Amino acid sequence: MVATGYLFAAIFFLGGCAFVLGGLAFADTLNALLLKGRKRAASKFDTYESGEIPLGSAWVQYPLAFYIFALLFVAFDVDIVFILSWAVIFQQLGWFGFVEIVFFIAVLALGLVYAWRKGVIRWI
Amino acid sequence: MIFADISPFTYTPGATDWLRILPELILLGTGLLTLMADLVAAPGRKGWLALVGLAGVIGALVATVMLWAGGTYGDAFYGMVNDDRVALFASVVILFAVGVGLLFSPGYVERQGIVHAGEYYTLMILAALGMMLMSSASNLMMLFVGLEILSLALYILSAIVTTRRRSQEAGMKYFILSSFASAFLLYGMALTYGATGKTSLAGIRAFVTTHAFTMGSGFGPLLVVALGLMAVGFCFKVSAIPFQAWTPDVYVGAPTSVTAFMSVGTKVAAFVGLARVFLFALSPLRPTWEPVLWVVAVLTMIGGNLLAATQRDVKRMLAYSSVANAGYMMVAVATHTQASFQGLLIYLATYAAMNLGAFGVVLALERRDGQGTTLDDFAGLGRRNPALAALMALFMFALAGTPATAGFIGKWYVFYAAMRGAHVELAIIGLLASLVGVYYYLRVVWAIYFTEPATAPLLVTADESAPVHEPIASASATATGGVALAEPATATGIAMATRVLPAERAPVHLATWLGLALAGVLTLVLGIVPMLMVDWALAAAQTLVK
Amino acid sequence: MLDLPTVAFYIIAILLVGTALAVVLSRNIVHAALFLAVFFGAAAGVYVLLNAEFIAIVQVLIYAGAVTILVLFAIMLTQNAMSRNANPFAGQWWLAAIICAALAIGIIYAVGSSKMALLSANASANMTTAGAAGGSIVRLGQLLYSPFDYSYVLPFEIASIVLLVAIVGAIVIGRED
Repeated sequence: MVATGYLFAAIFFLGGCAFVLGGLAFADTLNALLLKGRKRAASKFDTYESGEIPLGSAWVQYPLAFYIFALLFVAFDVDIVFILSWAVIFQQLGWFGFVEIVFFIAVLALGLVYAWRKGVIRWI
Repeated sequence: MIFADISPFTYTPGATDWLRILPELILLGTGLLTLMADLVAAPGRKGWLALVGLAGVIGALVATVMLWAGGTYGDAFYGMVNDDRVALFASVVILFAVGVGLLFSPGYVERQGIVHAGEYYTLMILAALGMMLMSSASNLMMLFVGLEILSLALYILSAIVTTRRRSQEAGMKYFILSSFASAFLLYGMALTYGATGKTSLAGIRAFVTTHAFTMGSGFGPLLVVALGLMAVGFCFKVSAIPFQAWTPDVYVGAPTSVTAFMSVGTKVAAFVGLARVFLFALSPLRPTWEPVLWVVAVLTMIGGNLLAATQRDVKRMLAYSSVANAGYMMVAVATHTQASFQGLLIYLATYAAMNLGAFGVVLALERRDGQGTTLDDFAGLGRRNPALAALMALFMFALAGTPATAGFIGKWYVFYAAMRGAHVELAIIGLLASLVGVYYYLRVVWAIYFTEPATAPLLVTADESAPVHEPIASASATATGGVALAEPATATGIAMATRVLPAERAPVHLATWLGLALAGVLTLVLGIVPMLMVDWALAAAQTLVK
Repeated sequence: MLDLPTVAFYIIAILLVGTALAVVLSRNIVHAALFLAVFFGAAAGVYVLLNAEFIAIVQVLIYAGAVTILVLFAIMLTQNAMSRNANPFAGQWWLAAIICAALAIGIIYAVGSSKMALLSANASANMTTAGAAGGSIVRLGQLLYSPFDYSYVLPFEIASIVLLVAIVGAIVIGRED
């Protein structure tokens, strides 16, 4: 048996996709039929007609520092998984459960303090 | 397992639970303390962090001894860990290894110019914590979590010399291959859970004992697959042949202080874990796994010794020798008697003393560029530095298994276990293989006392232990400059240029001497009056938490 | 008779196999990584169908989220990944195929013929239908943080140490100095 909640989630997901894609298609059609100027010019094919002109590819080599961010993100993401399973029943767990999760987060906070003091979390 | 109705409940582990993991808690506190202390320590002056770490290690050692003396033992945290005497014995060996490793570190970290000195000490202590958790685990979950802590910490420690390419390579190799092995182990554990419905070792044993595990019974196949996967994972971690390929590169590339610590610590943790899983939890399945471990033991003993005999670099030779030693330890596991645990623990303790010492001497001789550990560099050491030479000779004789040293006692009890387990052939193969060992260990002794240094004449006999702090940097700078100017900068030219410079051989740090002395004394004491340790190991084997 | 879960399963299964093949076959490694993200999401769908909600959440959070980002960053960090043919066929693909097939057959046989595995599969199916109110996340939370048969309090706390070591390690390895 699938819990019906997931069915709703799936419907919303598909609905969301349909909304965005349909909206795009609709706007495009509308644009083509009514709003579009008839003149053809090179600037018409730019992503932004009046903004910055995009140069080169978006696929560039990233600085290494981003990778540390990504790794930190993974560590804290795993952290969230644990907190989630705690959060759904924290009222049953009482004070001991609270102390448990505080210890868990405190140890990870030490990691954050360490990263911060080492100057890793800095805008490059 | 029935879905329990959701009712309010609270649970607090009692004081006994906390008391039983007191050594681990002390070590954890020390690790976190050094991590934070590193943030306030002035850069370049991090040697005192080693002292903090040592204080923590000694504290944990005291706690371990108190637990041993306390006499009560059992599970803690609902069968996650236990403080039976196998765990305590292993803890003592691990703490000794990390203590000596920390003693080796300050001088070496300074000499190699390791940037992340603070993290180095933290990771070392946390790795020891992982080893202790792994060897005291009575649940597969704890076993794996402990293994992950020690593995992650050791990957980083192997690669921590940022200026040395080989160290980076070692870290990378170790990380990729060892996480592969971790995955094998974890897969095996998951399938074990699937086959038995339990993760606690006692639960698995109970399940395996009650159900008939022949292939036709419908309980067998999954567990056999699980067993194979776990065997692969463990064999990799203890560097048994055919899973030894990473060992030499990693042991040579890693900083020597780390190699000394990890060659001992990882073996203790992984072998005790292996013994707990195979000799205890899966012991009723003995007919299935015994032939596998038998083959691994034989291959590792023969292969490890033969490969070690072909090496000219002493550090690399010691790496292969640790493979060979894994073979002897595997003999203890494969024979499966009451004497197995005893033999294994004795071997681990004696191996810790002599192996730490041997790597310590290599560390003392190693130059800043990570060279200077070949047999040629040992030539004439007997006259250049008699104390260091005598210690190295002692450790080599011990590793070769000479009577009145620790090595003899270890081999004796392992082969005794093989006899008791009706595996005379393993004892004989082991004896023959260790004859090869005698050759390559004593070759080092020969180089030390009976050969002359080939390229470097008497220049090096200048007092090496004199404190030459300032000139090191300038001397090496001129050395590299000089080599760069020299027209035919061949490999031998560089080697000669660096070898003649006395300042390139840094003085041996006081703490390193202390560590070497500790290892040397223990090697002799365990060899001459072993009975106390033998009794302790027997007591440990008997109190294994059932 | 096709009921809703079956239909959902087939949709997800086709998506799963298709994206898995796309990961292996696409010549552009960035495309392969993006297909991997879709694959992870579809795998979460399978876990939902198996009533393993917690695993599904983990799959979305860790794999579809974090691991995909990690993979993409790793690709973006390397210099030559942007070339058109960054994911070439290895010469030994047939060997890999044989090994994968043998592994799959072996595990399916071993699980299928193992009584305990089948028993616990049935038990867990009953468990979740009986206690649909709580779901597997609540059950897991109880196991992690408080005892019924046994408690995973200690491994849970130790897991924070593992994560701490990982954080420190990432910084030690990744910092450029």
